[in-house]
Amino acid sequence: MANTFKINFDDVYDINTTSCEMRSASFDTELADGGKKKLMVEISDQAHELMPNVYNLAFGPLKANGKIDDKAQIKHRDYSKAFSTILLHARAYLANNPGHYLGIDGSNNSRAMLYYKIILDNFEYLSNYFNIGAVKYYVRITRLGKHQYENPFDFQDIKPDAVRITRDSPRYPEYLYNYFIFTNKQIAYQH
Amino acid sequence: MEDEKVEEKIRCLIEQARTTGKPTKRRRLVSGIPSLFQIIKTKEQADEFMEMLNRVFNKVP
Repeated sequence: MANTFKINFDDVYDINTTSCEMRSASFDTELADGGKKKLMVEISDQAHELMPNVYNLAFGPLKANGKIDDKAQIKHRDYSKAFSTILLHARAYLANNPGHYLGIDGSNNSRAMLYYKIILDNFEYLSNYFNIGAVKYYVRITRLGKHQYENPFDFQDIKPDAVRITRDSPRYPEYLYNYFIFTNKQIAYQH
Repeated sequence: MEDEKVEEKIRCLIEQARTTGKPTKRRRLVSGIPSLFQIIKTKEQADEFMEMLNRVFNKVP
């Protein structure tokens, strides 16, 4: 995989938007072996029932069961172009739905770190189009002391904490986030 | 500032979506539930989180 990614909305694959609400789109990415693979981009068709403006974006190839494989490891010929295409679709969706928050889940640690790196490396460019936030999850410690390792965490008691990503956001791996949220740059945000 | 070519691409994508005229199929393509959606379970949590998001995104960088 490439070490640096350059997001450029002038260099994207052709996007086939397959729904009028822009919730579903696809494009063919070029593979390192010269082949092509169809990638789907899907934005959840329902917001969280308690957070009416928060939607989730997932992407990946389709599995045999017809679901998106968001953990697929694809060898793109041009990673920058593939990610630029996904983010351009996200930008178009937000331009069309300016009150929405669009979230991208890091499906594992390395994905979450990759997304964070892409955002930071391209912050000046992306910040022309998006406001970007990142979320961490904190779990309550049930006890400290002698028996702390028996059952130290209450996974029913998790608190999310959101920060805005800026050009000065930390670049160290330990500053890892679980979830990234994008909003349209030009709107006033209301809930 | 957005450059003109990108803005035109975005307009084209929105227009392409309008002309498809097809609503999203009901069949979900994603099997898992996003982590954030699993964590926020109560109205209090949701309200608290949305307030946090509003603070985060309205803050002048």
